[in-house]
Amino acid sequence: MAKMTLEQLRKLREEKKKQLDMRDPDNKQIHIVVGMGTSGIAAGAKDTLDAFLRCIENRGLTNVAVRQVGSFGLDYAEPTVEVVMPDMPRVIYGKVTPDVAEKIVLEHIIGKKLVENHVYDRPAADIVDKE
Amino acid sequence: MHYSLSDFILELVQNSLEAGANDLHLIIKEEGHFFMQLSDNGKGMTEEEKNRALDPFFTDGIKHPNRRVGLGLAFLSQMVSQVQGDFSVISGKNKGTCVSFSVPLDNVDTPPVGDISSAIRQAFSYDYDYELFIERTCPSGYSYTLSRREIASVLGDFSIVENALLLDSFIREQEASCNT
Repeated sequence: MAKMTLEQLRKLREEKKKQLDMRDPDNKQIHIVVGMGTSGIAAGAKDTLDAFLRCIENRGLTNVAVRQVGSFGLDYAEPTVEVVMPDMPRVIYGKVTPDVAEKIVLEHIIGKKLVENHVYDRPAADIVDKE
Repeated sequence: MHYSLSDFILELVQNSLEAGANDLHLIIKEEGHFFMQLSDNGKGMTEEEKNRALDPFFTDGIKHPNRRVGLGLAFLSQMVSQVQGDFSVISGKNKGTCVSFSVPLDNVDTPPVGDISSAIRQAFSYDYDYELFIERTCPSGYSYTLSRREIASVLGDFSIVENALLLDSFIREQEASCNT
């Protein structure tokens, strides 16, 4: 099999961009931030991150950014993930296995409901004081 | 502990980025042994800091003030000594650091190699401005190179999911050529 060249990658990128521009342009940005420090990696954050990418692709969601940072300091609850999006409080979820990642996409991002039993930080105050 | 050898790719890259490096050179080779070497232009360590870096309770105190944790290199040196591999850290203050290790792939205690493509994609995707040049040699002897800057100039921001997925398939194609 001939492997993909940078030129082919550039073409794919341009095709994708056209498709994206045709979709809802004022779609607001959603950020998923995955803690990838030592403890995160040890607890399987790599698989969690990949699960988010797959699930977002499968659901055809656009304007989602998945970012990698170091530890959130909640090492006992790794893998940890922060979700920031319009109309929802900022939440740090803990013990986010690939299954839970899928739940977060379906329930939190699409359904706009918090995912039970996995909220580890930024709870009530933010719910009252909506951004 | 880390589950796979590819986890250490992320571990080392993150260490370098947090040490202020923006020019990283990574070699990954599988030839009976799994060999990995990461050299960077980060702030480096003095001889004393270098020795303490292997202490699981040492960190520079900047990221976690008043806490004594820093398991990254300690995990790596523990894994390497368990399987009788080689491990070295060469570093000079303000001169950067070069970490390398080699472990036998036939030792029962050697962790599985893991998903190299995914680890490379994630090593490219940290929120910093940096070059990461990768030289990868596959078990078949086939080799390829990747430059983060070059790919980023084509794709743009890797945190955008569409770009991350394109990056993923690009790396997977290079890695697939390993088996042909």
